[in-house]
Amino acid sequence: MTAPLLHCENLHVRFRTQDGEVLAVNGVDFEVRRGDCVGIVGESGSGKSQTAMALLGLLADNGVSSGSVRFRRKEILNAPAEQLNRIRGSRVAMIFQDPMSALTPFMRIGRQLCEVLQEHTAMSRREITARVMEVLEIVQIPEPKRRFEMYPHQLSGGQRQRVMIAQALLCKPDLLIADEPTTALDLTIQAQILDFFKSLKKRTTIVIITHDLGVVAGLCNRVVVMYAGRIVEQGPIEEIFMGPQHPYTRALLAAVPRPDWDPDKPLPMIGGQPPLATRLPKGCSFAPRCAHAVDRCRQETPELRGRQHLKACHLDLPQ
Amino acid sequence: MSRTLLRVENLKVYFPTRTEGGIRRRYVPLKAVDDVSFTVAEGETVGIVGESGCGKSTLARAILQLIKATRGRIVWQGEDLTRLDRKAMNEKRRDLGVVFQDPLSSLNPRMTIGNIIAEPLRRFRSELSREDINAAVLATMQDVGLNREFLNRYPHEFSGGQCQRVSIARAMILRPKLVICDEPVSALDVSTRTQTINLLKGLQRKHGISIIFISHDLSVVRIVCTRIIVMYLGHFVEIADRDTLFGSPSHPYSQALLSAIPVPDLHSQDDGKRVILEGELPSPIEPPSGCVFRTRCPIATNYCIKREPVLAPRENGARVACHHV
Amino acid sequence: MSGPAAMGYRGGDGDAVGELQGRSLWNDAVARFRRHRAAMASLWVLGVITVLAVLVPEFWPNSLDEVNWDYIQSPPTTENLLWFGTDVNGRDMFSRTFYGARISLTIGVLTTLVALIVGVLYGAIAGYRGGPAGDIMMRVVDVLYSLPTLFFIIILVTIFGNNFLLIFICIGAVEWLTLARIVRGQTLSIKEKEYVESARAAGLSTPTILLKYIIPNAIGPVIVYVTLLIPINIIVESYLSFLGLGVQEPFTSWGRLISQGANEIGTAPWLLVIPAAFLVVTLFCFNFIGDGLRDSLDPKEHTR
Repeated sequence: MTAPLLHCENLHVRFRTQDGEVLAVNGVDFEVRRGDCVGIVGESGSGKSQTAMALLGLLADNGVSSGSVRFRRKEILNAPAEQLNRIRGSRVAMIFQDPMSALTPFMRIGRQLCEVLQEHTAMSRREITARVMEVLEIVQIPEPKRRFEMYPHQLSGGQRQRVMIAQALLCKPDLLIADEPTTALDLTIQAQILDFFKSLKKRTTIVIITHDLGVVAGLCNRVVVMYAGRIVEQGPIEEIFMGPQHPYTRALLAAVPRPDWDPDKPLPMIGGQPPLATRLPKGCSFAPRCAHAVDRCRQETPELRGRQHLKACHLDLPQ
Repeated sequence: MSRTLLRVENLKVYFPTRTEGGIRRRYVPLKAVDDVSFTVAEGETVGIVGESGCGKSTLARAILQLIKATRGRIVWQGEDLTRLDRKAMNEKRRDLGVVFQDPLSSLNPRMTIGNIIAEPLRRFRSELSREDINAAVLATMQDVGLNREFLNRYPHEFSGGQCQRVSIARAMILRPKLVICDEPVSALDVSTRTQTINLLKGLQRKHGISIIFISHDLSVVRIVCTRIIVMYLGHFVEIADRDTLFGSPSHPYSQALLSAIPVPDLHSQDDGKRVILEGELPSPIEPPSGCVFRTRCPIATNYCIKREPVLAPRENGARVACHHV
Repeated sequence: MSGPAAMGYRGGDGDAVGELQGRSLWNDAVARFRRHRAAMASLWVLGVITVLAVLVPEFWPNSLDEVNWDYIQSPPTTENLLWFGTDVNGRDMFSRTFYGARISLTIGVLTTLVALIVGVLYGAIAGYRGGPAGDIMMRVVDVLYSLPTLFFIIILVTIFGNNFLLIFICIGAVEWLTLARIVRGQTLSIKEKEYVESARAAGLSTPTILLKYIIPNAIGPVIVYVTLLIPINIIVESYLSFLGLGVQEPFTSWGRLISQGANEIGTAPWLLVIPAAFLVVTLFCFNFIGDGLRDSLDPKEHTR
């Protein structure tokens, strides 16, 4: 078997705040193989975004990461800035939730895109322009020639997100990390972008971070479910959706109103609130909200176990 | 048939906007809500669905008289709210509750949870003693599933879901006749979202209040509401009962919205059946001529450019604004 | 699941362990302020100066206007408790310095209070009303701003005469302008917040909304500015005294002491150095406290 493209082992992320240390990511292991499309799913505060930020060394100043992240067999966690800069933007690209904040407002779209290539390649000016136009066409932006001359505020949210994706694709990255790429968009625009992501799968390996299981369903081939800084379950998409093992995954899947749910019945739901990262409960973090929890769950933190389909739960729930 | 509580007639809300560029500035109206009419009966739950910028939040604020209506009538129990002066309008607010989208920013960060929930009581039931108010607040907190220990704590200490419960408690404490919920769950996580939906439905049934539920998420609206209005660029394009809309959506925009819901189900993602709209929402400053949806409509014809469709009843009971269905 | 009954609270909540009384944003800020060393030290120093300013003029054996014939213009000495020396008229500088502290601090605090009340109310009303009325209110501020401050105060003092009470009304009448601008800016952003909309939708009156919803949330930057305004006002009083428009003999203030000391700088430097040192230390203290408050009230720290 070949080595995975990205291998993340025992990743921890801590933040020092006024109120004490916050453990945002607590021992995360996963790998991404070439050609995969991996979905990292979790609610806010589950540590999914911080995991992505830590991978690329983009944590806030008060954040510290430890563990190991290997990209193409090379250790990149806490690597020197020079090495990371070479990787970021060319080999690994990232797309953020808010496209406006990631584009410079005073620069024309075309120039912003060209600059990325000037930084990372030795292409001539003509080649660069040609490549930028090519990518703008790949992301299916209407009238790419006109957009090239525009400023970010002149574009709509959906178009800005497409420009962001174009920027990410410029250097033909091996890995594309998308953090909530559709959350800020309207439903019909979200459908457009998701549809586009499906065609993108052929070009590159994708890690998509989202709170929306619906986004993952039609897109990914592997799913990682996170809760309170840990992975609670991961596996091939069919197994996660058809036979979820962890009670949290099950509850999460059941909590989304489906088109065939009888609207007069109350929705099945998870009681209580997610724990604060400063006050994690002892044992399994989900135990206080879990309908199946037993004494062992409140004492012992479950390990992530399994071969293809992994779960972090002491119990073996019936299907 | 129960009595009509609220009747909105030909409501228009325009905002003056300055056009860009040039030395001479012109003021052009932004037609946020353009000529809409609907009714809400006692105990009814009406959903208003549309994407951002379609005017649904403006409509909510206009009904509450937080934004002045440009034209049209808002008849509340037989009285036109647009004609009332400030003082008379403020008295009417006793029966009108509201829950906004952002859970944290809807609560005054300098007030305790207890004081926030008690505020409407202090305003409208000033005869109540301190103990009575306290008892009512605690009862309401229990109603919405808030621990009574939270009484003296502050909003920033809570998660989004709990803050939204506080907003709901504040909106419900006077037992209003109508509660307007503007995207009450879109800022919440999946697990707290279902809690909040179930809570709203439970309270609605228990107290028989009417709800106008505004959301961009059709799957949520379907659970909460019995009648649904689909809005696009300031216009109503379809009004239908829940089962009619979800069973057989008539307007092409309703169809597209319905198929755009991301469902966590491997088999429903069949690409053949999905309707994916081209293009983006046009600017409400320069809306398309004729039918506002025609620029993105898969079945638009020349006729749609010339004439604006009006809401007309269909066989299945829905009212649809489209020339071609 | 059994309907609404089942959706209540399910105990196991990470939050809310024990703590019955919530921590308000103020409590948080106070806790953070306590960790700010320079600000806490400044608070102590100011406290000591204030206590001395209250006690010394009352209980010190040498009064501020008593002439010590044996010690005319004496340098600081331990004899006769003349620790800070005496001035050209043989009056005890220790007593005079702390009497000056009393006047200067009183004027600093009271003028700032006047400016605070006027500025905050004016700014909040102008911002909340908005529209043409709010614009006119702010244009008035702009016009007043364009008058040179000192010039304006001198005019007021010459018209209304030289009176302790008037001095701080005059200074306050000028210094509220910046506060009004700060508060208006804050109000403009706060009034768009959904909690203000909720308050309007709940039928609350405008004064209630201003006092309970707008002002408490706008006050953070104001408090920081106020700690900087107090020393400014102490200095303005010094100018006025220097020009002979402030406090009259035999009473005194730091500004007056410094102006008199400046005349004797060649022969009796302690007359200038001692009050000037106290003024400088006080100004530093207020600045450090302002820094500490700004850090502890920084809204970025409050997000979870």
